Amino acid sequence: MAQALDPQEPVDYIVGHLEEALACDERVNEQGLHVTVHGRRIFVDGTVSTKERHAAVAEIVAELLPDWSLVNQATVADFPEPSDMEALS
Amino acid sequence: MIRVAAVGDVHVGTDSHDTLRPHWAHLDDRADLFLLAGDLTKRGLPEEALVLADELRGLRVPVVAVLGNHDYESDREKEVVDILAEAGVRVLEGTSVVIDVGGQTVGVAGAKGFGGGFPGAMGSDFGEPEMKAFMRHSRTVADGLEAALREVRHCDTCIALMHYSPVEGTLRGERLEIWPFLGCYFLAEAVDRAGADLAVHGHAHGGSEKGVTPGGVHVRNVAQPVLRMAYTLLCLGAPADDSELGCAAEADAVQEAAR
Ligand SMILES: [Fe+2]
Ligand SMILES: [Fe+2]
Repeated sequence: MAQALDPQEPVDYIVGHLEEALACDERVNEQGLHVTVHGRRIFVDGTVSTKERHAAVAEIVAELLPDWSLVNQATVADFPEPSDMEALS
Repeated sequence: MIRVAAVGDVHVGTDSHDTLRPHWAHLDDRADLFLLAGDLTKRGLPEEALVLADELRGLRVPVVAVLGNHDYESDREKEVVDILAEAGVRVLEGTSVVIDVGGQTVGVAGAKGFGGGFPGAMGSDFGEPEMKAFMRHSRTVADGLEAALREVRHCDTCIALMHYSPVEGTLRGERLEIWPFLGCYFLAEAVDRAGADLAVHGHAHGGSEKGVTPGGVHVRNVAQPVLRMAYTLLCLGAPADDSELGCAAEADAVQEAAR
């Protein structure tokens, strides 16, 4: 369980702590997630590898900022095989 | 002619069972070689490497990999390498491998690479020991890549495989401020000095796919979030003989089959 943040902190620090938690918490470990904050709404963008990690983003955010809301816009990597090939000269 | 499939940043965890294998179904038919450009696992644990080995099981295409920063997280990268080697994956770090594809040789030289930045916006081997260690690590791995590339120069086709980016071109889309953490020009210099037909990397999830070194070598960022595909397919070189189709015809065939 991640330790809750001080919601009174300047928003820049909140963003920093959230991004750090998503990178380092073993439930997600994703450095490529981008966090923005509008009022008490948190937006997360980027790609995670599995649906379990997508759900864990919400878990971690709820532990850090229990009363804030999350808009989890991260996509789960479930990509199809390519339909073309690049010929390099 | 050689058909290369490549992907990076699959970040396999214990929650990744059966997430990759279904999307690798046509690999054996479409590619002569499968490159994995680092961040193979989520946190560099043996149990994660076992999941990846399981996802790769049954593939006949030769698999060549380098580790990424995620694969070092738990200080158990040696165990990760051993598990993957056991599964038939050639894991490179300042080393190379030569693969025979229908009588033509393909040399792959690999190294993780590191950050450091690009001319005009980079770190220096100067000041605090931590800063020196950062830049020296970048230098060491780039030197390893160059030495490994020189081992395979005689091959018909020569590929440099790394995790961090050798050029800025494939970082476009990432915030400019983090570029020095995403790659280093030492890697491009190594590629240009030793010579290669293609350089492949991952790590820059928000970057772009295509770039070129200052010396004119193709660079492809194959991080899965960039590709938004299970892997990319590249075709290099001339047909080995009259019976073989060229790359353009191969590309047409893939498109036709996908229709
Ligand atoms: Fe990655
Ligand atoms: Fe990475």
